[in-house]
Parts: sequence; C-alpha cells; structure tokens
Amino acid sequence: MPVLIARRLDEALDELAAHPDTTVLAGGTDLMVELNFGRARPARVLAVDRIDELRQSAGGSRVRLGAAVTYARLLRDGAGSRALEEAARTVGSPQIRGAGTVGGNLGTCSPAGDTLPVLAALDAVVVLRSARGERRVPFAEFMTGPKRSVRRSDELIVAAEWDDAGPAQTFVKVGTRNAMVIAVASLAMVIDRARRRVGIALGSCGPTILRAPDAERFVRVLCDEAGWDRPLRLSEAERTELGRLVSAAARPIDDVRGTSAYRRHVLGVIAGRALARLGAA
Amino acid sequence: MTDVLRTPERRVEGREKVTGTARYAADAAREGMLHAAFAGSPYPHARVLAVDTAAARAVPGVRAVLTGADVRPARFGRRLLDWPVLAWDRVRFIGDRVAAVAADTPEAAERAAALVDVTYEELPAVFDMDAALAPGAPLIHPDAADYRMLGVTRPPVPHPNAQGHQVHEHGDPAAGFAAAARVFEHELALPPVHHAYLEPRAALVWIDGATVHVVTTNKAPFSLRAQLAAVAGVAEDAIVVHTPHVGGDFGGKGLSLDEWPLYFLARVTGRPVRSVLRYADELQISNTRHGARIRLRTGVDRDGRITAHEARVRFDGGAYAAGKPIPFLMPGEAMATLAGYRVPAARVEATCAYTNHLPAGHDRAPGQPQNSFAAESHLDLIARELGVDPLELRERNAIRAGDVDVHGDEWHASEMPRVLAELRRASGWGRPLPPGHGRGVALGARHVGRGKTSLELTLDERGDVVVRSGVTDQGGGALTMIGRVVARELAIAPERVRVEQVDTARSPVDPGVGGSRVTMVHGNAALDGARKLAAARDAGAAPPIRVVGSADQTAHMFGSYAYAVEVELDRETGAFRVVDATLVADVGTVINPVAVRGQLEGGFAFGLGQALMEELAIVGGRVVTASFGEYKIPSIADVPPLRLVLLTDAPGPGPFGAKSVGELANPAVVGAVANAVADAGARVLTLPISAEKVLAALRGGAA
Repeated sequence: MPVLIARRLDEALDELAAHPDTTVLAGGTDLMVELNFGRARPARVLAVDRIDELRQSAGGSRVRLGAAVTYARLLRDGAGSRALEEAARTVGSPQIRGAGTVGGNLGTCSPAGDTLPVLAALDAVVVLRSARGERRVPFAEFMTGPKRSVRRSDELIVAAEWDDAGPAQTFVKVGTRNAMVIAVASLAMVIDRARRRVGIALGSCGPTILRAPDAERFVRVLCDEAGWDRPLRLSEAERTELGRLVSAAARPIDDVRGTSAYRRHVLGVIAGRALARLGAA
Repeated sequence: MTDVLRTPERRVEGREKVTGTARYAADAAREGMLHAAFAGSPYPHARVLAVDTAAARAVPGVRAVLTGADVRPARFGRRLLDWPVLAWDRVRFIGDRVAAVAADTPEAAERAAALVDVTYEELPAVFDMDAALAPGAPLIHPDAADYRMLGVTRPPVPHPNAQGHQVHEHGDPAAGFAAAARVFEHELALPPVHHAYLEPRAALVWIDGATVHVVTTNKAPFSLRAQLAAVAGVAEDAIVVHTPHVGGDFGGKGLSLDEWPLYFLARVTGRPVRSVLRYADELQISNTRHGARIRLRTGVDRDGRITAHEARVRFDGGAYAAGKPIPFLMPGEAMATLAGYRVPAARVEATCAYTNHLPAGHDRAPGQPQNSFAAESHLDLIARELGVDPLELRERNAIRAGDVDVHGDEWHASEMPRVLAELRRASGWGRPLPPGHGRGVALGARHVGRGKTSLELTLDERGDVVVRSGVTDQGGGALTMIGRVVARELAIAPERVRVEQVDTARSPVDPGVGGSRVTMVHGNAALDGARKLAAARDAGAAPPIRVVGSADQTAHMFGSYAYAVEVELDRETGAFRVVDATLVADVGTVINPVAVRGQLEGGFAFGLGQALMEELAIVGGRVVTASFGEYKIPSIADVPPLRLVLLTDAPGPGPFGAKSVGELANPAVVGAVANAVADAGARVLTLPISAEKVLAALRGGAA
C-alpha cells in the first residue's frame, strides 16, 4: 500500500483529488487499530501530520484549531476551550495524546470521540478543504452517523473554528476505569454568558453526537431568571428536571460497556453536576 | 559483609530488559524460516464436513497447508490429551483450529488461512456449566473414552460433559447443621478472565536431523518436552526445548497452543516455522481463569462460629481440559471454599464442566480467587445478618493450631490470628469513615510450593560461581533469587554468582515455574549446591569445583494473609474508587525485598482488575472483549497505594526460612473489595463489580 507523507497542503489536496480511494492518516491512533485487527486494508494512505498549515492555531474571540494539533500540544498550548482541554485530558494514554489529533477525532467521527461533544456544544464549524475550494460545515451538519460524515473523499479536514465561549464550560466522561477508556457516556456543557447561549451535547449515546435542545432551553430559562452574569443556584427539582431532559435526549444502545438504561441515567446525573458546577462559577 | 538478603535485589536480567536487548520467543529466527497462520472455527460447536485447501495452497509463497486429516489422531494437553492439534471431525469453540498454513511471509500465511474453505454442520452448543451437566445435554466429547492421560488414569466423572469432579466430606455436616443457631446460603458467580501478560504466546520449531528444536514461551520446558514427545510420538531426548525470556505468565503459559501444529508444519516443509499469536487470539482462544458459579451453605452457632459447611462449586472448563495439569482436571484449589478458616464439618462438591466456551486453564492460584470471592462475600453477609463486625467474625473463625480446615486437614501451626490482629492495627479498623465510604476485609491462605529439581553449580579459580538451571524466569525473578541464595550461603557478593537458564538438553529435569514453587524448590536446590561447593572448597578441592544441588520439597505449609480495603462510593452513578488498602502477609524470610513487594503489589493489582473491571464477556461463544480496548485491566489511576505489613518471623520450608509469595496475595482481593462496596451500601454477588451493578444494588435490585 503506497503511503504519501505530505509536507504541503496543496500536495495533499492534489493527492486526494487524484485518488479518491485514499485513506487519510493523522495521528494513526484509530487507523493503526483498524489495520492491526485486519478491519481496514487501505488502497493508499496519505499522512497529513507533517503539514504545517494543519498544525497552526489561533486564539482570541474566534478560535481556530488546526486539524493536526495533537491532544498533547493542545493541552500544553491551550485550546481556546476549557471543555476541549478537559476532553483531551481523558483521551487514551500519554502516548495516544502525543499522537492523536482533533482532526483525526473528526475524521473517524465515532460517537465516542471525546472531543466531538465539545465541538458540538460550542457550535463549532468544521473547515474542509479540497483542490476545488473550502467548505465550512457546522458540526451539527458534519456528522451523519457512526463513523460517517459529510466529508467528501477529495476533502481534508483542515481546522475547527468556534467563538470563544468563556469559562463556563465543561466536559464529563463516564468510563469503566479511571484512564485509557472509551466513554460509556459523555457530556459537554457550554454556558456562553456573553452570547447568552447554552450548548449541551452527548457522546456515546446515539449514532451521532446528540444535542439536548430541550435541556438547553431549560438552562437558558434558568439563566434568564437568575441573570446571566450572576451565579446560578440549582434547586433539587431543577437538577432532576435537567437530568430528565438530558436523559430523554439520549438514544443509547446496550453494549459491552453498558446498558442503554444506565447510560440514560448517568447522563442525567452528570448533567446536573455539570450545571451545578458551571452555575456556581 | 552486609547480609545479602537485606540488600535490594539487582535483577540479573534487568539490564537486558530495560535496554531492549532481551530476546523473547517472538524474536527467535532461523535461516529459511516460514511463518504460520491458522484457520479457526466461526462456530462454537459444529461438525467438520469438508475442508478445501485449494485456494489457500494457490496463494504465492505458501509452502504447506495442513488440516485435521494430516495430524489425526494427534491431540495435546498438559495432562488429558483432549484438544486436537487441528480439528478433524468436530470443532468445539469459536477459534478452534481446523487448518494450519506455513508460508514465506506472515502476510501470505494469513491470506491463505483466510482462504481455507470449511464446510460445517452446526451442532447444538452449550454455554452454561449447569446446562452442560444436565441430563440430555449435547455431548461435547463423544470420544472421551479414547483420550490419553499423561502419567495417570483418568478419575471417573459423573457426566460425560464433566472434565473433573470431586466430593469431600469430613466431620458430621448433618449434625453440625442441626446444631447451628443459624444457617445461611448464598450463590455467587464470576466470569472468566485472562491473565493479561504483556507477551503473547510465540514459538519456533525446527527439525535438525533426528532432533526437534522448540523455542517457546512455555514456562515449563520439560513438561512441554514430555507433552510433545507424546503428541509427536518421538523420544523425549530427541526434543530440545529452548525458553528465552518469558514476558509474563501468571500460570497461562503452561499451556502451549502453536507448538503442535508448528511441529507438523516443520516436519512436512523441512523448514523452521514460527508463529506469534495475535493478542486478539490470546483473548479468544487461550486458556482463561475459570468462570464459576458457587453456592455456599454454612451453619454458625450463636457467636457466629462455623459448625458446618456445604458447598457446590461449578467451574466453566470450556471446550478442552488440556490446560489443566492436575489429574483431577479442575483448578487446583477447586475444593478450598473456606480457605484459612476452622471448619469442623464440611461437604464440598466441585465439578468442572465442558462447555462450548474457550478453554479455561491455570491462572495464579487456580480456583482460589473464585472460592475466595464466594466465601468472603458469604461470611460478610453472615456477619451483617448476625450484627457482628466482619473482622471480629473472621477472628472468631480464623484457623488456629490444632484446628481442621475445609479439607479436614489439621493445621499444626497458624499465623492467621496474628495476621488478623496486625490487620486490625495497621488498617485502623473501626476508625470512623467519611460518608459514602465503606470498608471491607477478606483473608486467605495459600500453600507454599512443592516439587523437586536439580541444578548445576561451578566454582571457579577466582571464587566466582556459575549456576545452570532449567528453570524459566517468567518475570518472577527466579534467576535472581537463585543467585542471592548462593551468594548468601557462600558469603560472596551477588554479582559474583552468574545464573544461566539453559535448554532441556543441558539441564537436569526441572518442573518449571508454577504452584508457588520456585523459591521453595529451586531456592533449596541452590542452597544445597552452595553448601556442597563450600564443603568441597573447605576440604581443599581444586577449582573448578562442579556440584549438583538438589531439593525435594515436600513440606505442606501455608502462608496466611488478609486485606482491609476502603472504597468511596458515588451513590448517584454507582461508580466507586478503592481509596485505601492494607495487606498483612506472612511470608517467612525475605530473600528479595523488592521482588516480594513486587509480587504482593502485583497480586493486589491483579485482583483489583478482577474485582473492578475484568471480564471475558462471551456472547454465543464469541468473546466480545477480545482486545485491550474492551478487555480492561487496571491503570495506575485505579490502584491505590498499598500499605504492606510483612510478618517474617514464622519460618517456611524455603531457603533460610522463606515462604512463597507469587500466588499468595491475589485471591482475596475480590472479596475484600466486594465487602467494602457492600459496607458502603451495595452488595454485588457477581464479578466484576461494575458501577451499573452497584447502582442496581443500591436501588434494591438484583446484582
């Protein structure tokens, strides 16, 4: 299997345009597993982790994160999102965090991808580039199913972008051990006080990353009532109601990591805890 | 000179291992070497009607494709030869091998193996151990009467799907139950788990004239040699087994899988043939720790003292008994349902069933973790019902000198009361706990190892010693231990003793690693050899002086230990953490301070894995956790610091009074954790103790 190690973006895009059967290799933390288990036999491989442009990031009110930024670098340099950093910290082992990238997480597009609920809750835009030009796809439209997205075979994920949402954001993951674990369920919650926006997204709880619109509306109303700039003190009844709304938004399955009933339950619990923590800040 | 035993060990193989120069079986290579791959059954139970190898043979680079017809009637096993080298008429679990390929490259071999076209006729499969032992259950081994058994006659079994079966009775159980103030009965269950050693099995076989050479990961080379002689029909001295470094064993590497088909491939191709098992196959086809279902019934008097005990133990042996070396074909401690307690009257019945699951075999104190989980949970439930502190209940029932144990054996000495007293002190038992925390206790006893071996020692002109032994070092530190014993006895620095592991052609017969044996048996042989060297030297013999040191360790003695663990439980999610742990262990004289700590801490972490997360989940015969992505073992974030208290003043039968530690402290961890979680509010009667089961138990449901 031919492997092209691209150094420049245009070179990579030309390769993708010429060979639609190309498999993109970023950090390799997903692809190598597929290869090892004999589940993937790519016709050609294009390595993109050495392309400088994909390793660039920009902070400020509009955050741009290059697709080939590794979790380790994101944690070292800051990601422009506290929740994204929390998510990155839960990915794999130090070795995996040293190789895996946010672009790779988007490319694999697993419902258990740790950074994806955060990108969903941030209303991030996925920047796709091909030799024909650039497309900017909101995350909600990007992921279409388990390991399926709207990325065309000639397109490369080059970055994710979002508006800086301030400090009230968090990512919570439930797993079967305390490190190196695929989520049984995960949740990202963003309360953008400046824009008066709430984002709640769920991982490992359906065929795609799911938003919880009723729960978001519920939290918006709570923030409206309490005042967006003031701490939010959650009553027990409100916490229960938030949990109910988040659980209802999930569409989990039973698998070896957990039952759907447990996933729904635990999502409700972590949603209440996330809001209690963010609201108090 | 400082006492060798008090200086931390220097691993003789440490430099090689940390610098990456250590060579393992998978590194072995020969000129002209071929690579093997295997075709396995996709069905848990099926008749093999036809095997078409034409497409496989047509793959470029393929040198041989063998099927069951080519190896029939070769079956292998450590004791009972019940596992066909390649299935010829019937497959009995998913992954059971039907064809073997040797090719120029691993890729060609894999490609060819995938093209072997087998016609199967599915047979009814049986997965549950009780269903397998029911009247009219589908028979898994209709030809069992033809199977050979190495060295002994197979004991009778009560059902054709039973691998092994035993009943023990002592005292008067009926009278004991009649005299009891209360009688309690509980049933507990555990799924199979895997050893999770780092190194997968690997082997290289070549035939040089009349001699068969095997490079292997097997931890008992002489045993492998005897088995291969039986399978291949060649003399033992025509086989040389070479065991390089072994990357972890925990009992699993006593069973070889690839060596048998490799032998036949090497014979037909005339070339060396190597295979390295993929880890997915380790988890799908290699021998596991037995899953078990255990029902215990115990009568106690008004003070909670045991008056009678009854147990029904069922093990899931999987498709073959080949992994079990003990003649009764069950895990070694199948009958030890209340290890470490005074049991005046008991009736214990244990059966190991054939099922269409992957075969089970030996794993670190075989049978004990299962029985310990059941017994320690059972006694804790009894303590709670009686309103007696769980540690207090154990103190009342702990075995003392003159008491009989669950096997009806009288103990002439017991450190158990001291172990519990020390545990009470060191763990701060009784100190109030924060809300949401729970504390659990469990005790255990493990026999020290027995067996005999010889090794060769040479003292040279400079006063340095070379020891040659056939023992493997699977990571436990056997070679380092031998060196320290010799150095201590001769009062020289450990660096002046070189210990070499040699192949079966250059060593006296050796029993290999296992059964907590090495420090007891090889340590005593080293001590014997060192004494002979010293005697010869003192008698004026001129170097080089060569002696053979031997040991035949037959003393039956126990090491005792107990854990106290503390958990912090999240009542909303059911998740919990083990936050504190104390282990008190009666280990006798310490030969390697670092190795002893390593074995005990390792045993603790090993047990935590089984308590918290490990499960070979099997659905319709297929292991659905067949990778380390899904088969979770503890990370360092799951393992709390272990407070370790060693009792070293009760000498054992090992050199200088040592006892065994390799299997000592693993079994009771599961019970201690289960009891701590129960103390925090959730009694879970099956392993692993997942957050989900804890939550169900908190809500009053079955777990």
